[in-house]
Amino acid sequence: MDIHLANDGVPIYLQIVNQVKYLVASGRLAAGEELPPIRALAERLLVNPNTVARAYRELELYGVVSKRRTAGTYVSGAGSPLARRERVKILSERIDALLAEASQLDVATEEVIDLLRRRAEVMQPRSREE
Amino acid sequence: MRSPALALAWQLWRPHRWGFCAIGAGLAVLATLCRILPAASSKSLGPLTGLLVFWALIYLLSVFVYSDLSPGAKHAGFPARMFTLPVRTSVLVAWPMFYGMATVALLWLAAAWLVLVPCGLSPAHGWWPALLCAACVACFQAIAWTLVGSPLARLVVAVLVLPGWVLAGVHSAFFTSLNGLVTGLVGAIAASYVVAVAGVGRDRRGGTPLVVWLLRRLDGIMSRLPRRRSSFPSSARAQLWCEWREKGLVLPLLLGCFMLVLLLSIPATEFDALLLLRVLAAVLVLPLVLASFVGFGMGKTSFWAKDLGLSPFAATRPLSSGTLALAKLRTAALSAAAGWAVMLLLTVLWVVLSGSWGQVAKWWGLFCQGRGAVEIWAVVPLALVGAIGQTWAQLAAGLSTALTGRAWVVNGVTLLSLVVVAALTTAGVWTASHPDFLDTLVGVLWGVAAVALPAKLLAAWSVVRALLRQRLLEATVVAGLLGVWVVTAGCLVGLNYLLIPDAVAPIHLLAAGIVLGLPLVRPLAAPLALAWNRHR
Amino acid sequence: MMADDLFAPEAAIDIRGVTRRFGDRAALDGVSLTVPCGAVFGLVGANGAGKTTLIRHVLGLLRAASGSVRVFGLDPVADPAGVLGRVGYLAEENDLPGWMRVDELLRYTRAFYPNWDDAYAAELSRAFALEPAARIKNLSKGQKARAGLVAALAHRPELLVLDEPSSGLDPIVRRDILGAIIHTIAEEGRTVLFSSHLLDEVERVSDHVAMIDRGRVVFSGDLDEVKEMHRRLTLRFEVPRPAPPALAGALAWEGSGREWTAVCAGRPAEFQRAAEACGARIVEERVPSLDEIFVAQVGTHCPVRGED
Repeated sequence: MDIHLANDGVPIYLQIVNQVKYLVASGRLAAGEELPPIRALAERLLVNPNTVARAYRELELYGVVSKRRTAGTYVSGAGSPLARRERVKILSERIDALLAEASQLDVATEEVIDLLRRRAEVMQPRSREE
Repeated sequence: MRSPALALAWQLWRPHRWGFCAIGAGLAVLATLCRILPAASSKSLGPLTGLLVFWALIYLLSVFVYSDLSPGAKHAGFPARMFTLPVRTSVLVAWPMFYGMATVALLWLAAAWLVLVPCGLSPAHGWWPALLCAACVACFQAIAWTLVGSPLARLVVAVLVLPGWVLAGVHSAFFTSLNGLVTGLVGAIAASYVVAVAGVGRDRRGGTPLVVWLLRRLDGIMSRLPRRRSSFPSSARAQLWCEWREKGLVLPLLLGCFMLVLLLSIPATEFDALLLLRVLAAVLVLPLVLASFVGFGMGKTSFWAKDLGLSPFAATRPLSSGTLALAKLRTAALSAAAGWAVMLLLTVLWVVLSGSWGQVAKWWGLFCQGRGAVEIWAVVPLALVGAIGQTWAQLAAGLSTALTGRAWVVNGVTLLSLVVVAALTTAGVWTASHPDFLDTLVGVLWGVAAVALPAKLLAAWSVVRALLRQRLLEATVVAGLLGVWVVTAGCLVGLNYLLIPDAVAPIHLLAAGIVLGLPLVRPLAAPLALAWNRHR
Repeated sequence: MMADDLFAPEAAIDIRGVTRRFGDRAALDGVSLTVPCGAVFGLVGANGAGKTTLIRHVLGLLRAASGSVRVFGLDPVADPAGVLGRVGYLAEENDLPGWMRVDELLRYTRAFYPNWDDAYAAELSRAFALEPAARIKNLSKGQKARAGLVAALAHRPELLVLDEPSSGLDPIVRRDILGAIIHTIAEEGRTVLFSSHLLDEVERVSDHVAMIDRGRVVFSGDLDEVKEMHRRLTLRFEVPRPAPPALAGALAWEGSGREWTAVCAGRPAEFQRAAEACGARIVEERVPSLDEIFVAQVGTHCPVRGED
């Protein structure tokens, strides 16, 4: 699990949550795969174990991961059960940033949509394979 | 500043200008006194001038060597920042050496022409000591700049070389022709310059100094020796080990060095009874005198540290201040015992090697006359216990003083001791020349003792109470410390009783002197001092 | 100050109203702090703000001139052995006795702590590649810090006190030190108090934080709460302004013309109203990093001062 922490004001647990979500969405974390134990990840990222625990709790709340009785945390089988509104909200923020960047770079919205489709094609088959 | 020579001179002058001015002012005062005072009493300016010149010489040495000679000094050798100057090494070395020699020579000439000659203390042609001083400075510079990296080695070499210079001076003053002396000194200066250029050049190129290389090899061999791997039985023992390893050997080593110089000087000396007596007296007194100074070092976290405060590492040992102080007191006891063992062994060796055994045996025979066997054989253990006990008390007093971590306490105690010693010496010297004054002196001393004795006992009592109340030491340990003191005092009184006839000095006077002179309050107060330093 | 009402009965460290003067300068001025058991407590502040002075009070190296210091309910001055036996301490100016060898240091240190863990000490020494026969004075600065860390950690102290542990050290040693902190707190119930001015480190590992400025506690409490109490707001004005507006709670401003950015302290709900009151709208709002809070709280009135 490849997680990079930045020092830009975003709380660390949120950075972990977002990046795990991203890894799951992009297929780099497959359903049923085990996340590293809290202590191991804390020592690797050099963050407080409580922070990692909080991120895992949050992810469990979103249904991205689930705890099993054998004391491990695993990526959930089902897709994210987040409420649709919630999902739209998260995505909208990203799209806002994307559109702002596109207008700055003088790329038309249609071109961005095209690009989105092409990227989806690149990412989709991989997540199906795994 | 157009030339490197001027720049180097300014660099030496600027930080030390007040020191130079003070020396100049001291000489000016002496010169004025010499003119004002009547001829008879102006003779007494001699020792004062000697003292001034001596201290000025030490000060100038430390200035021109560029780094202090103390073994605790972090900086060693020629200052590395000067290596980047665009000047050849031979020039870089030549100017400080020249300035040093010139200043010291000027110092002597000024002292001679302004004070010594006008007061009739020195013959007019005494210009050669200036050359001697100059050569001495050059030699020290060469040592300091060559033996880079090992401050202790520099100190040892310096201590071994300094008496050599004094001896050379005295010897040449009386025995050798002036021409021979001048040739020798000029040769020494030239040799110093060559050695210094070679040493500084090596240092400048970043080469490992020979001494450092040798010390590293030695350390490597030492670390291969088998050492104790087992754990300490208690934390107090671990602390004792730490204290002993850090400071315990300083006193025995210093005493050993002194005896070594004595042993090495055997071939060059002719012994008569008087000299023998003086050497033996020095052997007896030296550990006691040294102990007062070494004690200060033992009180500090590291012996040579300039900082009096406890280091956080030492202060955060999870031991009570009483246990920490007790480790220091135990180290002092071990040190005193080891010091006397070294002293006795080497003194016996010295007596045998110098061929004075017969003389010593004769004195022993004189001593045995008219004394019973018990009396005679009681002297040895009494002397041994008394000497070790007194040395321990001296060490403990010094360490307790330094353990307060306050410079003003150390300075105050030092000043007070100097005043007391000076007053006693003056009184003694005065009485020696005015025997009718003796009764008055004894009266005064009794008066002083009448005040000081109760004060001392009262102070000791309050220290004991504070120790017990603050639970710094257990009652049994306090009793033990008091016991050591009582036994030591008893031995010393007994010894004096056996050795000194009552007619010379009544025993109760001696006993009072011993009780007053054997430190009691400060050794006891060591835990209090440590706590005061630890919790500021 | 939040510390006063944050009293925890099982506090590892409880400092109340400690004032300390060095000459004219108040190094600590009525400082009250509580470090709960099991917390990783980050102490931040500029050089000379009083962090080291505070830590020295905790260790009993300074006697509280007024106020009280309790560590595990004990007075570190009255009972140094009782307190220090439960504390592991690594000083900024690592002052281990230079003449000792690394193995001698460990043998010496272990004598003081009944629950010294030989296996752990050996494991750490191996991980740090400490040469047992090396003299401490010949070690590099980083290796010295590692040796000090082994000596401070191997008795598994209940309270680990680190005074500027990573100042002047390379990133690899800093990683080792942070790793050791995390390893320590991963074991239940252990408390860590550490001071640092590397604020991203503090933000990473601590869960409680206190900021000290010129001897006073600026804020103290749970890291998340502290961060929630601050916002970084970007305001946009209709007309360009030559100077930042007066906004309640704003600590520091930067910007020019129409856009001004402020780090504010207070209730986030009130910022909206405050911004409207001065004729601006909030175009960006986020939780600032500890670094930004620090600069905003201390930077504005931080004159050039000497080291601690």
